[in-house]
Amino acid sequence: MSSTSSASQAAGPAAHRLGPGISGGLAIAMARLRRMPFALTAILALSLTVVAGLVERRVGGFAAVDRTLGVVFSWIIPLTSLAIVSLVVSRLKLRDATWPIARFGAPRSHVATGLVAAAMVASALVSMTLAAVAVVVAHHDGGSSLAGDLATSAWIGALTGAAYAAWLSLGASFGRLGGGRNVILALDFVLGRTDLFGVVFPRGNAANLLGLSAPLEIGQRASSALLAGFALVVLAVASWRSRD
Amino acid sequence: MSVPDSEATSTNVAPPHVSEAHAPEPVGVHRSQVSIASQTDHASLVLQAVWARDSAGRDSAGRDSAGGLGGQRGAVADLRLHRGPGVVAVLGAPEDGTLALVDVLSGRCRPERGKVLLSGREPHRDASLRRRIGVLGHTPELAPGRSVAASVTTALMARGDSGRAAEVLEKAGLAALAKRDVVSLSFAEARAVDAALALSLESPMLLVLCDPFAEVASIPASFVIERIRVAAERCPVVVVTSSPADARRATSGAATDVVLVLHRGAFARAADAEGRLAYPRRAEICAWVSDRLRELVRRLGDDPAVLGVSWEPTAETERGEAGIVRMAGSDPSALALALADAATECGCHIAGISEVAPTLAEVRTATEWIRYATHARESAARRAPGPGAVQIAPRAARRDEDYAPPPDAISARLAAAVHEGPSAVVPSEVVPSEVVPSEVLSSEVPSGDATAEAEPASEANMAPNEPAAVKPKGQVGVDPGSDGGAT
Repeated sequence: MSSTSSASQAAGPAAHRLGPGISGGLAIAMARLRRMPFALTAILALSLTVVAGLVERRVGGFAAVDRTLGVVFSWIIPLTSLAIVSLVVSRLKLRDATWPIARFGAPRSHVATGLVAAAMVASALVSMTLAAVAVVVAHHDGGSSLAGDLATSAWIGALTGAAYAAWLSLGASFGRLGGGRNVILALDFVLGRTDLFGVVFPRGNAANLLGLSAPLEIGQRASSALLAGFALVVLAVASWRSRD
Repeated sequence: MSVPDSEATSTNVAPPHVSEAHAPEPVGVHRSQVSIASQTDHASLVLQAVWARDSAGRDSAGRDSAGGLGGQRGAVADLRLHRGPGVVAVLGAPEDGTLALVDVLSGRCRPERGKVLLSGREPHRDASLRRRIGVLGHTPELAPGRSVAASVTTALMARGDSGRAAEVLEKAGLAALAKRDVVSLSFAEARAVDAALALSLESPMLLVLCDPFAEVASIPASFVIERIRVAAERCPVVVVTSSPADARRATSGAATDVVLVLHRGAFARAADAEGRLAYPRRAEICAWVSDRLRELVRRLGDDPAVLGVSWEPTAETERGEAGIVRMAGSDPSALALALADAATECGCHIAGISEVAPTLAEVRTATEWIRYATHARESAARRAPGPGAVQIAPRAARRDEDYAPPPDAISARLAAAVHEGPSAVVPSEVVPSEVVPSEVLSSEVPSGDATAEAEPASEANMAPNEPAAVKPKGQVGVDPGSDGGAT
């Protein structure tokens, strides 16, 4: 039993720093992401990215990287984020997904914050990897510097992935089984490229950061700030919607 | 949070262990309930016309194939209850709404209508209240953690409990599971850990235990019973089970304990003063006989207290066959005495004796009979008595067409009796009045009955083989302080 008590003592301070609700939410999310479906999702996304990169490279031209990133940011990252959020909330409504910890007395909003934060981190990491892989696979020898493209694409991928996860988590707080996340994704597909809503949804801002098209002609710094800002606001709203 | 006066007056009883001086208005007066909780530290549980559906199918860990993803298995409608400390054994199947009841009591779901109040607070809205609710659900839902000990530690921290995981597991006899990976646990082991956590609360305000004696791995029943008894001295303990034997085991027979039958989403009735749930005038006991089985059976057959005997030889011994004897009669004590007399006379050895609990199907059948008979009696009394006076509206018949009484001779006889007037509605040998006191089944009838009275039906609707067209709305008003713990 000594190992048990030492483990609990070690876990204690860390949990208290974050609060049992948030740390519990993080723990639930990590437990759900450790399962096989997450690995399969990541492998599938990676495979699609590699295939897209190879195809674009074969088509040729210096814009192969841009075209590959376009595919990755338009399709693969949003769908991967949707899969990650679905796994984290266990295909339930966000409020219901908090139950394994909330049943012991942790506030549901705190647990939801932990869940969404974990989804954002996981989505950011995966998206960052996907963007980096896309650049590496599609990179042309005569093009711009690989290191520069890699660094730029990676942070844009991370930011976009986190923003998608936050938005989709907000969607998961609607509907009996959290089906609102599908609605959010559909809205992003439909409205994300428009000028007005492109400022709000991740798609428009990500396109601006990639140098494709700028919604309302805003700058890239503004798009970065909007992506991050909206992600945080949406995180707060999703947590609030899951309150007791 | 205010409650209409009509609600307050419609509820019947004060919780037990509350002195007259502190007796509050029955329901909905939150301030008085909170003051009781603080003065006596005894929690009270109030269900105010609760309607709810269960969350079966929503649980990714133990997905319910019967309910399907997102599908419900059962629901409860207009449940009303007011309980103080003591055990409430709720007998029913998920289709009757037991899972829905567990969901709303534990705070997992908010009721679709009505309120669940625990000392004046709602579990689904109050995180601090949930810390003091011990829940053993239908499927295990452990907190995350690589090992069982880590999972229990996470749960204890969320609860704000200073206890250690090792202690919790050790008290329940589950110390061997501490280092196991959570995902490696079997269903029963995971439920056992869940049960250990639920029963480890030092000062619970409510325990909600779903089948606490089934599939809890190596947790001894004596431990569960002991914890239930301790908790029941201070708070309501709701034991939800589909086993009449477990319902009986969970209740101690104390005045504060009661067994309620949850039938088709409503508290249809309570066990009678003797704890009987099935056939009102029937008792059944089982005896394990070591030898001379057939001689014992022959002598039992001569005893007038024994209405029926069945036996099953299990082995051949030097002194005749050994086996199991089942006896049916009207009184378990008389049956036991008859067994003792017969065994003494024939010199056989009785290895064990036990009262046979009815099956859930038997309880349901009895419940249907009693509900139907009571409703028929009330209908006949309410309407103008006389031959052919009882009429059932076609609209009501369509609405309640799913309700069908047990298709047997007794039901047909009851139905026929309706036409003969109130005096002949319920044969006393079928449903004795002492088993179904008037308080058990309220005289409330669905609102559609007003229409039924206004719209006389055709003769076709009065046929004896369609007596079930009117669905009785039975609700239990539980007075734990009364004799037998149930009214």
